[in-house]
Amino acid sequence: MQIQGGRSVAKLLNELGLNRETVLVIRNGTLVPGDGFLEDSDEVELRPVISGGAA
Amino acid sequence: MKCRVCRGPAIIDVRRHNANFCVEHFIEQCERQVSKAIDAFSMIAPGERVLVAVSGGKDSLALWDLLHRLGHHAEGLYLGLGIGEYSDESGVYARNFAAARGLVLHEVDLRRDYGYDVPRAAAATRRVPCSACGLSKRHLFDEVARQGRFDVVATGHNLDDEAAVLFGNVLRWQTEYLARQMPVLPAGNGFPRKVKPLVRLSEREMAAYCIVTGIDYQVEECPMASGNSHLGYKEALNTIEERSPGTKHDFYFGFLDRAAEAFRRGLVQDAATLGSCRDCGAPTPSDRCAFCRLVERAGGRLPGHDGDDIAGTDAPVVLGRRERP
Repeated sequence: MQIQGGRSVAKLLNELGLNRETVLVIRNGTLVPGDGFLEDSDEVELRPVISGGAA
Repeated sequence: MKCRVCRGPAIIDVRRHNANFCVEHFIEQCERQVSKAIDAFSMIAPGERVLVAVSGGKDSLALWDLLHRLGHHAEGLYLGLGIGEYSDESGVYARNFAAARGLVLHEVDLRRDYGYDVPRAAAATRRVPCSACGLSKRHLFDEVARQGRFDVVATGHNLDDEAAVLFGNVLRWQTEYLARQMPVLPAGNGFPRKVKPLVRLSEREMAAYCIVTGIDYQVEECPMASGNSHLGYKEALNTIEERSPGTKHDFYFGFLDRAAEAFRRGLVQDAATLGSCRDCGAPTPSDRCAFCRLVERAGGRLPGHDGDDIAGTDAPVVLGRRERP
């Protein structure tokens, strides 16, 4: 997925409809916090963190 | 965004603590939260031997890593559940983690050692796969802990897990489950102590811990858990948490502080009546334990029942038929 223009992690997740509790943003192997700014040229991984087993 | 401790660049925001952390101080924070849980609930005494239930996912590997860092003697137990490629891959993550740190990993494989797997058990019992999976795990964790003389079994249940289970139990007023939902279940009647040292840490923090410490874990979710009610409870709680950080913590620890005891008082204590399963020797209120009945329904067999005992295989823990006392 490609998105034009830089923005904060929090804003990106909000635009994508993702709950901040359920995903981590990783840039070049490093975590980026909610107010971290993502540049237009950045490639990031959105890693889900929710597991389903209750046993 | 700056680290609350050193004012250096932060890599994670933990909104329920209104705090941000750099890598070093986030790891310290995780260690501190685990130590706090262990101390507050008397989970593990110095020198005790801990068996960590390891799935290859973030929570169990982070737990094992944290217990090791904190100086506990912790060995791992991985159960091969026979859930296709998912199980094949999860075992690789668990073995690689143990090998890289020189830690002892015990393994039990349902298909090899008991002649069934979770998908087959789910089909035979006509219940959701998580039911057969959970029953198998609980039985085998206890069994291996008893045979290996471990003092305690530690599982990677985190704050999100416990809050979601509590939410589900409250929605249906499962009072017996509410009476038993504690971060520690004491040993007794042949069962080892069970502890959940991650109850003060969220699922997001556990994933972050793995990333910053270089723990390679299985990100893919169990294909059989998709759409289960537990995930729905988590989604509902996270919707509230996003608007009101700290809600999950207050919900769960408020229950422990102000309500759990009331449910425990109403619990019928039937543990003293437990006997031994005629097949495996495990504590059970009936003639045969639920696990042995499950194995039979799924078309499996207990080790030693057909001359196909796993003794002699490369399994580090040898499970065999237990004699009745």
